Amino acid sequence: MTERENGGIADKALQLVLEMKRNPDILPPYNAELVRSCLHKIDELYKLNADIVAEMRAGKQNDYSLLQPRIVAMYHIRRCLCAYINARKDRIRSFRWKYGGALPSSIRNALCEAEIEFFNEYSSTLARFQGSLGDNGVNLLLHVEPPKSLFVQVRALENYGDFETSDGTLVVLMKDSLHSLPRQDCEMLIRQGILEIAN
Amino acid sequence: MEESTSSFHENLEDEEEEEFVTPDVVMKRMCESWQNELASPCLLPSKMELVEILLDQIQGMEENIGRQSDKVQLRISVHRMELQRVSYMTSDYIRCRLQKIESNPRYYLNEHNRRIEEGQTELLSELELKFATEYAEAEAQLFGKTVLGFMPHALQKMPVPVDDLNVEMVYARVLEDDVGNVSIPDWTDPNSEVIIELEKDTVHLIPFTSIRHLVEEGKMILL
Repeated sequence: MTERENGGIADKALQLVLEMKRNPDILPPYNAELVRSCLHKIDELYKLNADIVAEMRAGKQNDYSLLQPRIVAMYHIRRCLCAYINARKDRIRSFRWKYGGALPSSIRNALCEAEIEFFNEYSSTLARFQGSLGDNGVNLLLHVEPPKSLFVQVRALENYGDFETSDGTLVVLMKDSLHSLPRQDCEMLIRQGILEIAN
Repeated sequence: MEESTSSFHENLEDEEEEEFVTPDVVMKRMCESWQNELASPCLLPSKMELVEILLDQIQGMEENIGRQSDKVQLRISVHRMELQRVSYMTSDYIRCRLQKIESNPRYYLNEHNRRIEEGQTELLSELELKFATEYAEAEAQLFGKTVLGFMPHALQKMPVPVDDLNVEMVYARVLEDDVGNVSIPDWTDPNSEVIIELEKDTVHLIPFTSIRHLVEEGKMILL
């Protein structure tokens, strides 16, 4: 009976990894329930093993043939859990580069508390690093493409309102309006989906 | 590119400071480091001091341009373009390094310490070291609060993956004379090695570990 249950949970642990693999473009909500049952299973297996070891030490006759398979099962589940958290972590990191320090609420809802903490911590670590580069700091989110021209033609995709460029000109970004803006000024807006490259 | 970088340097010549190297040399070394870092399968020793010099000069140039009254001059536009290019190069270099550090912070922290103990050049700059330490801590917190912290004590250790660099092959060109020979493993016979002679300007497809030290010394460049 234990073996059958082992198989069940181990398969489910693998499901966590597959969940990430099958949704490469979005971040699925944190599967707290499945993670908890996996952790529970590890605990259970560990206790079963600990009991047997204790009985063996006490000199009682015992069947220890299950010790090794249980250990393998525990490591398997642990590996799946770590892979799951790791895959999520990589995706959370990419959000920092995409959205800057503020997460959209749709994504925030898919994270668990520890993950939000991680995002904030990563965000401020990166900000501190950027801030201490050179005299004035460097924004690493800029200059992501090899520069081909100083200005780019962009089209506004939504009503953004007033926007001041680095040389001090004020432009009004209305939906569907066309502008020629300095590349480094609008990189962030393009990434956020407010502007698109027009040509 | 060639034309515009040279005028960038002309402009910097007059503000050359305590460094003994000319901006020309800095740019050249930066380009090489950047290329190496992008092509290398692992993190190479830090060249952040070059980045710092360039950042300093970018700032100087920006101030110079800011002082010009006529903003539409062709000369200004050309200089702006150069600034953009240099900024792109430095930013991309830093980003590439950060990505590698983030992919395995613990491994690189260990490597860094090992290299210091063995008296080799430092893998991480001071800032990168701080970043890596903080990042590794954040990562450990995340794992601890989600899964590892709830496991039996024996299973709580944070896993540190190690890449097998022995299987990594790279294209590389020899830059200097008298680099000498390197040995590469002979795949047909596990006990023997093949000696390869490295002549100047030849290009090789070669195991990364065999020429790693030459790349770090600047005698070869990755392609």
